[in-house]
Amino acid sequence: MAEETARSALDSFEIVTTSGILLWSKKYAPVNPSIVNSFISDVLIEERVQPGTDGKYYKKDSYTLKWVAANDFGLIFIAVYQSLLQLTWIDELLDTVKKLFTSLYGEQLKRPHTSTIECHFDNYFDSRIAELERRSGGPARFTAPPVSAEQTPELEKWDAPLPPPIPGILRAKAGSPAPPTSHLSPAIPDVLRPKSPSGLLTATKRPSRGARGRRGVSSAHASSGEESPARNSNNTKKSGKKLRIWDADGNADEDDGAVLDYSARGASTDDEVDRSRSKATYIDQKEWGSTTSRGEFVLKDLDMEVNAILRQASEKEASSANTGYSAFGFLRNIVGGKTLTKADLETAMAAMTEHLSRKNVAREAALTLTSSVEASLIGQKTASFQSIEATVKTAVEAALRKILTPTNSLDLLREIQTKRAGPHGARPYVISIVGVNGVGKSTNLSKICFFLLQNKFRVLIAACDTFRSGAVEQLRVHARNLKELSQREGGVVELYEKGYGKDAANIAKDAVAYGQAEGFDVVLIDTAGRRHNDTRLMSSLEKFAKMAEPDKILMVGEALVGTDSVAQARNFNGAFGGGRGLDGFIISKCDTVGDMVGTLISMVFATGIPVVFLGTGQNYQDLRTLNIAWAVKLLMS
Amino acid sequence: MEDPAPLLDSPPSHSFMTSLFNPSLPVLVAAVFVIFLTPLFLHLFVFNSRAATNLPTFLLVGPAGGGKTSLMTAFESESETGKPPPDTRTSQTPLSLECSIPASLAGTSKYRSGNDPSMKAFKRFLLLDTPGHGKLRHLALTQVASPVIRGVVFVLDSSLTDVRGTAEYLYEILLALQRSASVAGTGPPKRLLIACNKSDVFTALPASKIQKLLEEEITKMRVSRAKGILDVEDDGEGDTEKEWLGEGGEGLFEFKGMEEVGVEVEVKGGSVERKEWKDRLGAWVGGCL
Repeated sequence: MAEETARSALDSFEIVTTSGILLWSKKYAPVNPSIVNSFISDVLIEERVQPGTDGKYYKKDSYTLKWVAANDFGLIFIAVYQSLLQLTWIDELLDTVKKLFTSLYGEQLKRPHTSTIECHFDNYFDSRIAELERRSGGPARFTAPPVSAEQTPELEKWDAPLPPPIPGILRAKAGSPAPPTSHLSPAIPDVLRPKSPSGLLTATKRPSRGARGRRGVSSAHASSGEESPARNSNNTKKSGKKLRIWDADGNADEDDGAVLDYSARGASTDDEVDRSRSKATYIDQKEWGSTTSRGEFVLKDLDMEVNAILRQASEKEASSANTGYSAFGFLRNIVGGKTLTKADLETAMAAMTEHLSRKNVAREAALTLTSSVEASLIGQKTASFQSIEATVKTAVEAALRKILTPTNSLDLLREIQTKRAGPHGARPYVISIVGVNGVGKSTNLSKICFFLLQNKFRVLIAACDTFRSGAVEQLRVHARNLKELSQREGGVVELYEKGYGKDAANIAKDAVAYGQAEGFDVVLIDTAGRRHNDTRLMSSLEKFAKMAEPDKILMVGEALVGTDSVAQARNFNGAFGGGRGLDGFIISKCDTVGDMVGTLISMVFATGIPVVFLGTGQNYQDLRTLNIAWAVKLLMS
Repeated sequence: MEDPAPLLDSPPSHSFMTSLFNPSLPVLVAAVFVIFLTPLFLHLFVFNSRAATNLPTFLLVGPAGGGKTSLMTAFESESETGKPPPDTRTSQTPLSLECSIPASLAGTSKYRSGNDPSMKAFKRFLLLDTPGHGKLRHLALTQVASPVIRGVVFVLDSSLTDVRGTAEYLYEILLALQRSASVAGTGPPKRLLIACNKSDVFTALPASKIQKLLEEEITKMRVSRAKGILDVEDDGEGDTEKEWLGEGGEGLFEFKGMEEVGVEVEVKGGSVERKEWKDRLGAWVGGCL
């Protein structure tokens, strides 16, 4: 019971491969797999950073997720817990579990064509989490009372002055061996310690029972409650029982595996202890000398093994960092198979950032991009005969491709058709175009209009730029031209205008109502250009989005703009109020920049919104969709 | 004639060259070491990571959440390990697993007698799972055309909540298959199995209904694609016949019509939960081998 509440500090812990297989998991409370799935697709694939999280954690429903990746093994370690809890030790847990798991099962993971691995990770994990919980003193506290409650008769007798409620913390802080280990130990050792080394042995073991119960390996804690009275009455039998319990969650045999080898010896019955007393003493002394805190005997074994593995892992890390400069390392760089470290990547990454900046990618976007690529490369091995530079280049290419690839379909015609296929007299498909002054909103609007007219749609153009003089006249000219061009094709175009000075949002709303009444298929709304950092002008967009309810809001951005592109995209995306953002970008004037198409990356990177069209010339037909391979090729050239 | 004399007189370089060309033991040993260790070095350190498998490969594609990875692990665990398959999460990287079917299912066993001992053997093949997320589909699309691929399995959720999205991806796959079939010219047809997974769910549609919905959607998509805007690299001239899925002109698109362009399409329903794919997918795979 109490153990369950302690467990719920963490809801679940999962170790997932990048190929989507759940290798190992520990569930303390049912967590819907969709939580982890949406985390993977949002954070790891789409690389969206939730506002305010700084990319360190991810919130979904009432859960918070923290994760750490092991790139060299293609593993992700994910901890899921309730957002209400403030768990400080999650990072450390993730880190140590990563080290443990990779050093224990790394060999198995490297084998080709394998999905599952043989792992009995539960004990390691439990010992880790128990130690961290204890050290932080947080959740472990909830578990302590039941154990102490069982002990109270003893306690009242022996150490009345000791405050019973928070033994967990007390014990954690007590560094010295037997006497202060816990409130329990003084109860028995006083009787036993003088007698013999075996007494010492049992004494050191006893607290471990308490700890065990508290930790509550689920099968064990149920029985621990029943056993504790027996323990109090008879010391010798207790040690025997301890053995059995340890067995129950490990192996069924008395002869445990190598992992439990100390515990098996330590937990032998008193008969055995008599027989092998000298041996037991010897071992005990060795232990005694080697470690200072003898709090828990049984779990200490596992902990010792765990610690040894962790130490080894960090040693290996340190040594690999040093050998990077050896002659063999240099050879590795040419031949391939070199494990990449941060130092190796530094120069290549700096060169890549420089290269991207030269392609007109905003510095902020270039830096974030390269650092995320760097994070994904650290720990990986270079392929045969591939230099670091080539590896970095392919990784950046893949990252650019991933950024530019839209998550869902951009087939505008199909969307309009689906919408118009509904009942007769339905609302027309509304597209509104926003952007900074002079980027080509009206021009691109008329290009889209031309494209729609060629597909025999009935299009209404709404002139909602009621601000700049000449804006309505400009659209009138476009409408007249398009009417002439499309007469043969069978499209119908009309201009909806209400002059200057009126509220744009109201005009847009009226235009949509008019379009619906007259049976238009598409309403294209032109808006006034506005500076993205002018809050007064931007604030009117929210009302506009509410009134006109556009199906698509497209933002026009110039390919010429440099660093400002990130801020433009962000501010416009955030201007439409809660739950509504941009649906796509039109990057205009692409014919004027040559291969410096970095604006594409900056804008998409800042918002995660795809590029729908590119403007590539002055004529009505100079509208193109984005070809990702083309863009990546230009950016990497 | 004078020249060699000074050369002979320079003792260090000369003695070094002589000792190098002498049949002395250290040099010999060193040479032998280099000769024998070089291939070993190459093998152990450079080429060890590449697994030499020439097994026929089947590609698993489809939108995210359709059950590709679990279909694969279920198939593997049933045929190989016998352990329950692991749970799965959204994939980010491709993964291939080695699976097998009884040889009696293979297409080439048609003419063998039932008592033929080779019928007791197993046919091995690889299942290659690809991520279904929109941003990672290029991983699958580049694989489809590869000659190693014997067949493609398009896994989808039978509830078909997003017909358009599913049809979109299927369209891409079909187009890639058609392209590679036309490049390969005559040869065995490309095979595609549309596996309607999760048929045990309450909202699941029958396979025939799914086929009809997808065909209708692709019909519309074909038209709108043909009318759509060109992409930037296209200059709009020369390449007048845009890629048109299937043979013939307008009208209803049918999977059957794809046979004329060298792509065989089959639609099957089933469920990983009910362990139905072992037989159904197995039979189809056998037909492809």
